Amino acid sequence: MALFAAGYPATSQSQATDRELNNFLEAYVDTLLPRDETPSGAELNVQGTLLERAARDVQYQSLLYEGLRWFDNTSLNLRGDPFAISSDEVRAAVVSRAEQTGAGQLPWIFFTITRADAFQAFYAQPESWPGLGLVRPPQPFGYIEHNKPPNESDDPW
Amino acid sequence: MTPDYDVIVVGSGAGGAASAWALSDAGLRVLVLEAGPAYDLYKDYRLDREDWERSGFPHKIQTADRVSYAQMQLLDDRWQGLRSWNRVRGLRNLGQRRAVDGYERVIGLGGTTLYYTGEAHRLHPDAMAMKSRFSQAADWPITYDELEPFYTKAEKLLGVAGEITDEARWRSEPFPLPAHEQSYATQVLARGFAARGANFGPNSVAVPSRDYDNRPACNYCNNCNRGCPRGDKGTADVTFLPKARKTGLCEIITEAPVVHLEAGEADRISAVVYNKNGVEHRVAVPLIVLACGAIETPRLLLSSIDGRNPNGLANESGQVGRNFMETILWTTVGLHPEQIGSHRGYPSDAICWDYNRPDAIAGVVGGCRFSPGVAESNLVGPINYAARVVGGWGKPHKQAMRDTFGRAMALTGIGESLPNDHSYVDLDPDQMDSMGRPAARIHSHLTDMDLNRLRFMAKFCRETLAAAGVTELVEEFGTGDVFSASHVFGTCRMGNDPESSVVNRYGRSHRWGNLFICDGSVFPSSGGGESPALTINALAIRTAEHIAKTFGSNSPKIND
Repeated sequence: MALFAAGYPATSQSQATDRELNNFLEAYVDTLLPRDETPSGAELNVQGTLLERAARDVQYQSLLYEGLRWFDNTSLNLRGDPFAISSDEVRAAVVSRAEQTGAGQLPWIFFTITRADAFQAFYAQPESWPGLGLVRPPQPFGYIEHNKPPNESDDPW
Repeated sequence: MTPDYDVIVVGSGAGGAASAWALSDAGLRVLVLEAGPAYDLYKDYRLDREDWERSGFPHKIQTADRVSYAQMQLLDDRWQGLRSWNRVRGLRNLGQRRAVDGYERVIGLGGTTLYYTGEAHRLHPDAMAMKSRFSQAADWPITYDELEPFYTKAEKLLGVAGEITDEARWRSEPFPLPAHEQSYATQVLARGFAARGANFGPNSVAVPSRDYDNRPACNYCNNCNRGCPRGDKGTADVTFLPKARKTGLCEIITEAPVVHLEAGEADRISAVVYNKNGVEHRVAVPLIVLACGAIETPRLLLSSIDGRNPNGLANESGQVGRNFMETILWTTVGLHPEQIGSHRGYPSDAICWDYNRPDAIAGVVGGCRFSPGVAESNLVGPINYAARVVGGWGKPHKQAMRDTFGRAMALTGIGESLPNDHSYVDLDPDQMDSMGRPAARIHSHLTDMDLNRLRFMAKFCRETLAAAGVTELVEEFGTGDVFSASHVFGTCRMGNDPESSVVNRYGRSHRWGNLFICDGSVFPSSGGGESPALTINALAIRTAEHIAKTFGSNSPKIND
């Protein structure tokens, strides 16, 4: 992975437990993809996908633990609570800070990679599709009314 | 060895499949050796699954070890306007040199037709005379008129749907099927062409608009490049190959990569050696057709060296691997304010041929064409919208997804690629594949002429999308700063002069009397952006009929 090419260490050293990592990721994906008209990221177990990848990839696992550490420290400095039990507003502020640290910084790397993975996991599930207009995969029905404007088509996509 | 076959065909893509069919249909016994496995439409293609968008084409054979890339050229500040970028991810290429996405192909029964969109184009006749008319590339040793009957045969077998949209490509018979109706998104895009006074008519495609020859009509899922689970798209494994098998004269062995050609006496290839499950097999060769594509065919020839042929086979001219031509492509993607449902339809349902003639672009030799960029942009599902169009996070992201999905509009230009001395294929001295064979090394260099053509395409795409109502651009991709090619040509070109070409006007090696080539490597010029599959089909059928006529069935003549 190009983002690891600069020699990001493949280490799994961390004082956090697996449970803490799971709680952190659940809160994190809920911040990235909160519940509104469609379920939240955690409700669709997006964090499970990230953990599955971590189980296969030592560097990715290390990234998640380092992310946990940075997010918790930042959250504690802001409001005195770890990220997983902070309010929605605090969590959003911490994610914003991570995004704004800039290319090459650990928090930005964590945010960029995990956001991409979270989007993949989330939007691969039909429960995330209401409101987009999608109700099913492209096959076996296709889009027979492709030649009509969407609002004139009887095909619910 | 007593030959069990009349012809060995190596490869089963556009050229191999068409030649296998035409040869067996003419009564010759054919063995097809295909390096990759067969694909099961229903099991392997995933478009009916909820996570369909997570993957592209389901490659079964990884090919990274078979190809390498020589250092690409430095990026020149003069072409800053041709950088690939995305509004969420930024610049695609952060380096100083042209980056490499790679040579896109499929190793499997049906070859890269399994992945292609199914465009079925005839070459512009003027593009076949580039040397004599424009002092570029080389002239084809045949004319459009000579190739026309074979285009017609290929179109009938494939069930090409289309409508006559330009007069240059005259036709002896109408299209087998009527043109597809255009998607609503394409109808909106067409407003941009109309506003500019440019033509934008139905594209000709090997995808049925009606049920045809036991294949269903397309149902417009817009995902041809992920593999067609319905068998409507005219891939070689549902068109030419079943018909070849039906003759009873065509045997196909898959997962059997050919690793060596053996040169015999009297300038004849005597045997092919293929590897099946780790065991090498030798098959006697009365006649052989190579159809591995413009990278793998020269790779096989160059690596089939022996004491008498230290530079490889059929390389007396030194042209094997030379004259490499690639995909010159530009795509601009924007968002339309109207909800157009752009994830629906057939990916390339319309085309503009206005600039396809070699002299159609002022100041540039070599033409281009424009078509909807659905396949190139791959914005047909929510994952790619989230990652590349919408970005962000939180509730604003989710709301933006609902506001944005289905509004992407993409326009692609594909243009002529002219050969030059710095673009060629050779063997990598350091990289070997899993069978110990040297990888094909691609050397690619774009000239100022290519980049000027690309500049024209970029400008046209941007202006036409704006004329169609697009209000914001979200992504652009061009092969000026990233090498990415599926259309490749020229590396064993055909010609009348043995000093400057590899095969003659029938695809027959100038020296090796029983060796023929039927793939894109024989193209002396690339055309002005036409998709090459139909031309490869036509050339292959023509070569096969020549073989049948010259050598007959069961008892091939050694001397002409």
